[in-house]
Amino acid sequence: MALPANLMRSPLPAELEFIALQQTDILIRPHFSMGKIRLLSGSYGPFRATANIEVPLWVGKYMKQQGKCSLIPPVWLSVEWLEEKLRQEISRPEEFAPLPFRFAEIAKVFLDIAADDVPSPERVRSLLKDLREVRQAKTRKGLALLDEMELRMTGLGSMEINELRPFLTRAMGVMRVLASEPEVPASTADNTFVTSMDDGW
Amino acid sequence: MSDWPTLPGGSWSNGHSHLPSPSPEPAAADADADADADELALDAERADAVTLLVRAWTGERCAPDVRAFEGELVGRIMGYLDAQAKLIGVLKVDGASEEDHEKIGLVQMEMDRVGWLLRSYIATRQEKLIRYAPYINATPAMQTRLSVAEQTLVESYQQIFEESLIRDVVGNLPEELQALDEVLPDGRSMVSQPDLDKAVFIRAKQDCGPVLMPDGSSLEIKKRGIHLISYRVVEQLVLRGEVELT
Repeated sequence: MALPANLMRSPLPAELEFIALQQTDILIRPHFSMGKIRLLSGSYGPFRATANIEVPLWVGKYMKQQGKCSLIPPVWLSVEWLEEKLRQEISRPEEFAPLPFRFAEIAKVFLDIAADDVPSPERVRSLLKDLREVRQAKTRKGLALLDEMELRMTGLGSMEINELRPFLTRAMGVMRVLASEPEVPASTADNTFVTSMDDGW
Repeated sequence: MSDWPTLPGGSWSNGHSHLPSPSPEPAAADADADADADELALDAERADAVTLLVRAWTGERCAPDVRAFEGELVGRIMGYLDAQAKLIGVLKVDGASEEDHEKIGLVQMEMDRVGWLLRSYIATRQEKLIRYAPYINATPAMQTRLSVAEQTLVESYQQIFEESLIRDVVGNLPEELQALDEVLPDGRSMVSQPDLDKAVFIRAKQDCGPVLMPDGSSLEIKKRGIHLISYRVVEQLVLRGEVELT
């Protein structure tokens, strides 16, 4: 089955979370013992109770949900680190403070399933929200710089990019048409009759 | 049992062991060690087969045109899945210990996850194949990017679609309105093509040389830089793996 057309425009947040679960390694503290296990993404173990061990986030989530381990939050998922970044974010209006690329997805997984392993989860949650708001305000200001050629967005996270994607790719497409020579109207554009109908702007 | 044994190869294999060795796979490691080191520094990502599949999935999902089919990778992963499935079968028959149950749970979950990624990767390609079928059939360079099964799909899809269109609609129109590949005076064509100028988000894995922009200016793309930019401008960088679509 071909992928539904609405999914072709942009991956879903749930899909990005899936990728983050797959691609992020975290430390867990097992509550049980188990020999080494070989998975497609690598070998993990042996697991010993109370000895921290690095596994993919999805493995940690699976074990946590069975009550078999605690997750150890990454250093950046802490009140001190986030407060520092929030200060940076506010004091440097010209750039985005460097956060891990998938910080939003990883933080969501931790706060959803392992809030008891994160020190002061409510404060962390509210700091993440503050960060998001400051960064969104910057993004809105940055939109003024958009032209038909290029926009530098260094420092944005994968979830933030995804949020902006439908609007920005569309806006840039429109600006490109407006900037091109009037007698050559976007000859290379994807112009099925069907898509040009629902593309009306 | 304390470890997963390796099984002899299935139909997809080339005789090497299926299950990844504890260290990064030798096959992946020798290819470009430099790029891997960069990758580690950038986002601490692995270089195993699943990571490569994640990259292929993201690239296919974000690129406006159809990219080359990752046949070797897909075959390798199918081989892994096959081997893991057999292993679970063996374990279940033998009667598993509690520890084995735990392992079986994890292995099955990973198989489900990887299976989903594979299906989504193929489905993403199919959407584009169907959308651009007439263009692909008329463009040999595009066909080389498809697997044999995909080539068959594109050909039979176009055939069935056009037969139905001619029988039910176009055949009843005056002859001068029957063409299916007309280009209108305003440049719009009945054959849709991928829009290579579409803006995409890229993330640079290394410093790239200056990139020539359509207006003649040049753009410096720095490592870790994230840019919204026309796909055509960065296509070569994407193919060389210097930047990643995101």
